[in-house]
Amino acid sequence: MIKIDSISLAYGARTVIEDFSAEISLSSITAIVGSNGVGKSTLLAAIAGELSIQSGVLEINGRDVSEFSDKELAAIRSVAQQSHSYWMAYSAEEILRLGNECISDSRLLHLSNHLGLKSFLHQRITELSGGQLQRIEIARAFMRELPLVLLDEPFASQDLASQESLIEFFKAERVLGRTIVLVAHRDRGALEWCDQIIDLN
Amino acid sequence: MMALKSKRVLLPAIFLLLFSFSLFALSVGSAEIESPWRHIFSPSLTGPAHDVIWQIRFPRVLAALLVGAALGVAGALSQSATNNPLADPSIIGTSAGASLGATIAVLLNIAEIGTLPTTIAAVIGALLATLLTFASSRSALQLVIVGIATSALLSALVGLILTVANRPDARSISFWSLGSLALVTSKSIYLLAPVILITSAIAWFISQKLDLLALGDREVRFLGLNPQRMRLFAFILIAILIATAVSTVGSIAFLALAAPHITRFLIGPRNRPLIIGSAVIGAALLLFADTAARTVAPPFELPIGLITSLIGAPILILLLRRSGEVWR
Repeated sequence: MIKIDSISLAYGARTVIEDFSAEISLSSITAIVGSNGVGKSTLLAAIAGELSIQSGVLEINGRDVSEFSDKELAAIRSVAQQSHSYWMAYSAEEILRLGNECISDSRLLHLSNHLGLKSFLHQRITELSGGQLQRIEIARAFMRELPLVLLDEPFASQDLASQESLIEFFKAERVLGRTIVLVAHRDRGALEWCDQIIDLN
Repeated sequence: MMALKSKRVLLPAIFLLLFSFSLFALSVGSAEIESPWRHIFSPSLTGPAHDVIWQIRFPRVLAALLVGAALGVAGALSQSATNNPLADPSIIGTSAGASLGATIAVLLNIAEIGTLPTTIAAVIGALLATLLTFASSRSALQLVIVGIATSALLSALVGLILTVANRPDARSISFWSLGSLALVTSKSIYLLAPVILITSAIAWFISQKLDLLALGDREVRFLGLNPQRMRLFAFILIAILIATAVSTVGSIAFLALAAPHITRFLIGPRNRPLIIGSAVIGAALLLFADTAARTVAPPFELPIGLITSLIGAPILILLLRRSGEVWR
C-alpha cells in the first residue's frame, strides 16, 4: 500500500532521515521504533502527507503522496496525534463527533466498547486523564473507517490492561483490511504482534 | 454543568429579565419625570416627559442592547475562531484598529462620526489590524502577545492624532478608550440595528463550522479543511461588528471577553447556542452598565468602560472559580 524509496526528510533545517526505504503492505500493522529525536514522528508526518519529502519517492496506492489534495488525503488516511489539549468543555462524545457527523451510532458504540470509553463518554473532555484523552484521540482516528490509520505513540499514557486491549483492537481492525502504522516507544520484544517493525536507529 | 432541562429555560428566562430591565431603564434617568410608566405603556401621549423617554432614553437603551449583543457575538467568534480563551477584540487589535480607521476618516474630512462612511473606515481599520495580528503570530500565546502590542501601537497612534489635530468632532481620547453611549441618537439606531442584526445572523449561520476549530489546526487539516480560511470569514464578521460598535460608542472594555465565557459556563461550548447566548448576555451586561453609568451620580455620567469592568470582571472570576476544572 505504501512504498518508501530512498527518501530524505528534514525537520526545520535539520535533516533527520536520509536515504530511507521501506514498504508497508495492505492490511498490516507496522511499528516505527527508534530512540528520541531519530525522526519517528517526522516519518509519520511524511506518510500522512503533512510534511513534504526532500528527495526520493513516497507513494500511497501507487500514487505520489504530494499529488493528493487535502480532501483526497482526508478520504484515505486518519491520524491520531500523540497529545491534544482542549480548553472548551465539549463532552468526549461531542469531540468524537466533530468532523464525523455522518458516522453511525453503531460505529461509535463499537469503538466505545473496544477502547473502553463508555465510562467517560459523557464527561467533559477537559476533565479526562491523559490516558483517557489519548483513547479518545485513537477512537477519532478509527471513526471514519479509512484504509490507512496513523497513530503517534498510542501506548504512551496507557496502563498494561489498556495496552493489551488496544493491541487486540488493532489486530481486529487489521482483519477488517485496515493498514495501521504506529510510532512506538517500546523494545522490539513487546511488538511481536506487529507485522513489521521499522527501526530508525 | 447544569442539567440539560434547566439550560432550555435559562435563555428564555434571561430574555424575559432583559425585557423587564429595558422597561425599567426607560423609567429612570437624570431628568425627573412624574409617573414615567404611564408614558412607557402609552407611547401615544405627548409632552416633555414623552420626549425624554422616547427620544432620548429609548434610542440609548436600544443602542446599549445592540452594541452589547455585537460585542458578545464578536467575543464568542474571536475565542472560537482562534481556539483561544484570551482572544478578545480589544486584545487582538480589532478595537484599536477600528478607532484608528474612524479617527483618520474624520480628520481627513471624509466622514462624520456616527455615519456609514466612518463605520466603513472603522471596518477597514479593524480588519487590517486583526489580520496583521493574526499573520504575525504562530501560536495561541503569540497571538495574545502580538495582539497586545498591535493594540498598544494603534491606540498610541489614535492618541497622537487626536492630540496633534485637536479637533472636537473627532471626539476625545477617553471616548475612544472607555466608550460612551451619551451621544447616541435615534439616527445611530438606523445604522446599528441593520448592520449588527444581519452580521450576527450570518455569524450564527457559520458558527457551527467553527466547532471544528476546537480540535486544533492540525486535526482540522487532517480532515482535509483549511483552518485559516475558516477563520478569515469569522474575522471579517468580527471586524464589522466591532467597527460598528466602536465608531458609534467608542471602545467598551471587557464585555467581549466576559460575555462568551459567562455563556459557555451556563450553556456549554457549542457555537450556535453560544452565539445567541453571548448576544443576550452581552446586551444585558451593557444595558445594566449604561443604566448604572447614567443614574448612579446624576447629572454626571460615569465612563461606561469602567462599569462594564466593574460588573463583568467579578462575575467572570466567580464563574472561573466555580468551574476551575474547565480551564486546566
